[in-house]
Amino acid sequence: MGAPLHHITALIKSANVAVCSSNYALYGDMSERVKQTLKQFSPEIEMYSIDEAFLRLPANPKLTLRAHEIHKRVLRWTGIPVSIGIAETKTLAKVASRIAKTRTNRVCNLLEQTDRDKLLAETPVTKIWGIGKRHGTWLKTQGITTALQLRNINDKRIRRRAGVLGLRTVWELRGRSCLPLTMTIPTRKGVTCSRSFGRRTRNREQLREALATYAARVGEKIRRDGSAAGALTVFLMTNRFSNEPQYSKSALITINPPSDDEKTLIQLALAGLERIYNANYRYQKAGVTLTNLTPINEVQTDLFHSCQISKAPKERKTNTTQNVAEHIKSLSHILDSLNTTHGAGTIRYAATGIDKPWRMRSNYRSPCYTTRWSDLPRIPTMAPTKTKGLLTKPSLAV
Amino acid sequence: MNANQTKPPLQNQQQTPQPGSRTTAGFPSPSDDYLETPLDLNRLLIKRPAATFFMRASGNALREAGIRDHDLLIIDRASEITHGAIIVALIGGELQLQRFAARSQPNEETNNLPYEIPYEIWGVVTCVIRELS
Repeated sequence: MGAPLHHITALIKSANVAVCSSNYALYGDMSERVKQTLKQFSPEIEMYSIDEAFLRLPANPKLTLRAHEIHKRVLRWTGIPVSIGIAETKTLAKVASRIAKTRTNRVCNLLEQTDRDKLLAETPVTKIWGIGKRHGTWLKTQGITTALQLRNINDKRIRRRAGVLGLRTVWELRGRSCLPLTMTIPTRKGVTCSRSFGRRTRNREQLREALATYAARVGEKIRRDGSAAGALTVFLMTNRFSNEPQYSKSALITINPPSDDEKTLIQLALAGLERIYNANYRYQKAGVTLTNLTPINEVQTDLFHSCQISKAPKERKTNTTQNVAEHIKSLSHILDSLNTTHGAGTIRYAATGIDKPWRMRSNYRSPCYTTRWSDLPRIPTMAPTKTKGLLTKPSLAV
Repeated sequence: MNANQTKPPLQNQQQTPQPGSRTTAGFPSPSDDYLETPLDLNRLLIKRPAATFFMRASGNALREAGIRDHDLLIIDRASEITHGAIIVALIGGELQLQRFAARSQPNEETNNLPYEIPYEIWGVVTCVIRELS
């Protein structure tokens, strides 16, 4: 079972356990590499998450062979071993990939398996995509614990309980495809940036820095998407697991007209903090959420507010307040391009803090081998010797 | 895992020739019909970006191969492994730079493991980059 590091320091020492903090920059880069490799096998690819993808392949008798090729190439090119499940529908493909994980060759083609029913009977219903604990509990009361039983359920029953999404899942289990490949990324409905602190804090200044940083980060994200936010929520939480008194509050601020401007978002986040901050508690987690997102070119302004959107600066004729406001608006885009060119955090608002004592402690993070020049591995060179030696047949590294 | 994704970074955008030398003279630049993309080291040196990694050499044992201490190396995991190639080998859990000798072609100068040790090839060094300063 998992345990927080500080609870098992004695064990770490005595058993000489290696500790690695998560390194999302590295994982993101490796995920991108796997995606690029997979793309060679099909132009129709949906990157479902950082480590899962759906590919559409034309049906033909050589699909299993193709899957083996895919596994081999991804492993050779990136070092990442992938499991591959093949079926008529996405839901079944996920069932198949789960089975593939247990096989040495990492491939499971349901289209060729003559014992499909047996495999479905061995798949717990809670492991099916779209059926979580909630539906699993009810299904158990109905005597349904395997994928096979769910597949055979009456349509009306599942529709009544789990809605059209539940029905789709059952149809997909039957081989009827209801979930097309999504190759366009859906526009965000909301975006959050929140973190647990490395150390619990009640320090108002530190909380201001943290929230300013999160507000800046979500601002970057919506600007990248070309959206503006109509509402901003700030929240604070104490540590649920501690014995200290609990406090969890949030503040919702409407942004009218919708804005994507960094300065505005930071100011609103800090104003929100003032509304919910209570000095009597030690906080473990805080965050900023932006909602009511609209595309930047569809923002409706009203007559009385000056438009707080980061457009590219127009020709400056006179130094009126309006033009100064417009000049500031474009600042967000200038910040973005500087940070893109010279690295994240190159230039930022002072409110986001310098030292950031509240930041997540990644003391044991492995180097960013693929995204930072300074983190490249240094490999020792070995001299060829004149003694006659024998090299065994090399296998390719995994 | 949720289905919310961020857009991929824009770093890999293909450069297209832009009529950059727009003149104010009013007539088009004579080079507009002959525009080519600027020289790009990435396209020259990296054949398979997904399989390409960077590392630094440590030590001068492979000087005769043209590799010096602190040189930047381009490693391709998908490259063909030929006799005499400089490879990154994984031996006993550690990465090392060595020259590869195929078993069918024993060559006294390039065999470099005195014992029969199983090893794995992590990748092949395709380029060496050294900044002179």
